Amino acid sequence: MSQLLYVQEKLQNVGATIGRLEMELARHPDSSGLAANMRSLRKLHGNLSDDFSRAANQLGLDVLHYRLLEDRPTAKALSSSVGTFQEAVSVAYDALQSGPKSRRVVSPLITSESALQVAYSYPGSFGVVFTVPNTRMLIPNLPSKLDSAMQTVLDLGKAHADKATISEAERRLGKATISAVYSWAKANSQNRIGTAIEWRRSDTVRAEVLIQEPEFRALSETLESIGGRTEEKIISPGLLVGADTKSHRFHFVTSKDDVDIRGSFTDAISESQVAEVPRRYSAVIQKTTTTTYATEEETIVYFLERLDPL
Amino acid sequence: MDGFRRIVAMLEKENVPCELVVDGSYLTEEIEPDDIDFAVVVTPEFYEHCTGAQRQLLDWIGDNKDIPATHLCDCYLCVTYKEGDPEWFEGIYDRAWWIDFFAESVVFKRDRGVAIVKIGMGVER
Repeated sequence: MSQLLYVQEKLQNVGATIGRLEMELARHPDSSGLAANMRSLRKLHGNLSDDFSRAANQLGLDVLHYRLLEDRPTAKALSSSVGTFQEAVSVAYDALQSGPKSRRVVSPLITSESALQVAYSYPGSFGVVFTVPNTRMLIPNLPSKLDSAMQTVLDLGKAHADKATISEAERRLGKATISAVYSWAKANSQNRIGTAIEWRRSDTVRAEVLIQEPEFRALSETLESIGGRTEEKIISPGLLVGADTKSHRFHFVTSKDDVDIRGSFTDAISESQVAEVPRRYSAVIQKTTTTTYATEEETIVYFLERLDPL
Repeated sequence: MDGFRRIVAMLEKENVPCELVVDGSYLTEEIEPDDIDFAVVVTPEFYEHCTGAQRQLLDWIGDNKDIPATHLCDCYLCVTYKEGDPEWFEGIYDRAWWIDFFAESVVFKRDRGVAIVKIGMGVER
């Protein structure tokens, strides 16, 4: 750990000096000496970053470079971008561990196992470097669950309007992951910011992506326009308590649990399919549940298919 | 050391008056003792007015990222400004910055050795 902290300390020192030198270079744009110093400092920073990745690897840590494509982002832009990304990775990781999830809540263990720990930041195009413990597989190139979660989130980040990629991710991981990725895309879109992300183990880049602000906007708009949809057929005895043949609306109360079901119909009740109110029937009702990733709110619609008198 | 000696020889051949601030930790504690870290320190007057060959050599030292592979050295360039120079600023990246960078370690809580090598400045090494 001491070697990692040692390099981390050096990186913070060099990062601060780069930031200071950038300001002076802006004041003296024609100074070839300051420009040479800047190039050399950037080279030093790059070498130390490589040393950091190698030292982290020796401790079983992978390294995530999260760069905002903005020189001086606001605190809000930084925190919302990184925070929503962290949540998307944790939710995807949880789904890979325990199966598709519909809710974004994750356990403390999952939160801890997927937590990105700040190591250092660097100026220029502002970036933050994180470390995270990651399982070393017996076959080195075999991705761990955290690798897969990271790759899924990065792939979704580049999905734009690709509904097939989104649907496939939802099928594998559940709508919670899609919803969390939506929050990430929306945060970056609202703050008009792009990101460049690199996931490294020692000298090897395991995944990387550069997502411009318009791409985040396209993705969030796509996710606002689509959502999850499930259909379920209900066959239940109960009491038909209301029917309006003009507006084609019905009101049915189930016998078993006294649930009020209101919805629409087309020809389940008509001049040729006369129904009485109130009267007991066995009702065949189609229940359709839709969820928009943007709001996570469920919309349930009932459609009366048939009434059989009891 | 061979790669380091070759770079020193190049600086001498091109008559570059400079100081080399060398991280002395390789003498005692480095994992890879073949690697030598150092910064070549020159004055702004020299850097601004040097010959094309001298500038090319200095920029190669400062910018090239393949030197660790070819010369087993991590080397950098520092154009050191003095207080009173228009480009000087508080906390500037200068000769003293490099000495501190190689000498101090907050984590290890101790100073480390730094070697200074002078080339073409009257007193040789």
